[in-house]
Amino acid sequence: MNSLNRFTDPAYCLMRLIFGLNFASHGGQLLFGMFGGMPGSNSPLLQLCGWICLVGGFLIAFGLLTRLAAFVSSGTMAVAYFMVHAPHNFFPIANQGERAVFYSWVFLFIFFYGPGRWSIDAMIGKGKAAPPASAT
Amino acid sequence: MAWLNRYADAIYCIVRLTIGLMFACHGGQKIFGFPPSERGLATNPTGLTVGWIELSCGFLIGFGLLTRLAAFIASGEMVSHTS
Repeated sequence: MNSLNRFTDPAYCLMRLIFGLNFASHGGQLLFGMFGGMPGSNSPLLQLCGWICLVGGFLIAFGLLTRLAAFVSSGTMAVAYFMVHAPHNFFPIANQGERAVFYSWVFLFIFFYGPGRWSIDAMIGKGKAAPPASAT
Repeated sequence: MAWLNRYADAIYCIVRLTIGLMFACHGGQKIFGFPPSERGLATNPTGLTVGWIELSCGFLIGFGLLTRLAAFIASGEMVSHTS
């Protein structure tokens, strides 16, 4: 099965893209009320969260300043989980916080793993150090 | 920043564990009613199949046993997820 490792870089790039854009759409929802489902918010805290989601999401998606963006986004999601979701129920599945947990840990992994080879960071030479061949 | 890569394996393990166990929770809700959920147990064959896939693949991914197989099946199940 190790032959699959050769696709690690494109798969990682795709994963970053999908997680980043999904994360950015939460920002669009909070700031501009896009996509329906939930009105935008005027509370300063949610505005801040929205901007982090929007900007961080796009930066992660395209792999620009990836580590910084992933660190900030991961921290935001951790705060969101403990402030908004954790008080309701112990289980992430029951307190609606599953996505927050998910984003938080995946972004933490991106922070440690780096932008990968298929990213803007790698193109402009910021991700000079090649990532480990695989994370297994 | 490349020195951070030294910790990538450890974080990867925690990510797998967290996401695997959260995934298994979905199966647990459908099969055993734990964690408690208002939707109740799965009764139709599709629900039961989905529940068992989520439960078993979640734990396999969580602990990293047969990881690639479990991840492939779980990924396919999520793509065709309807309920």
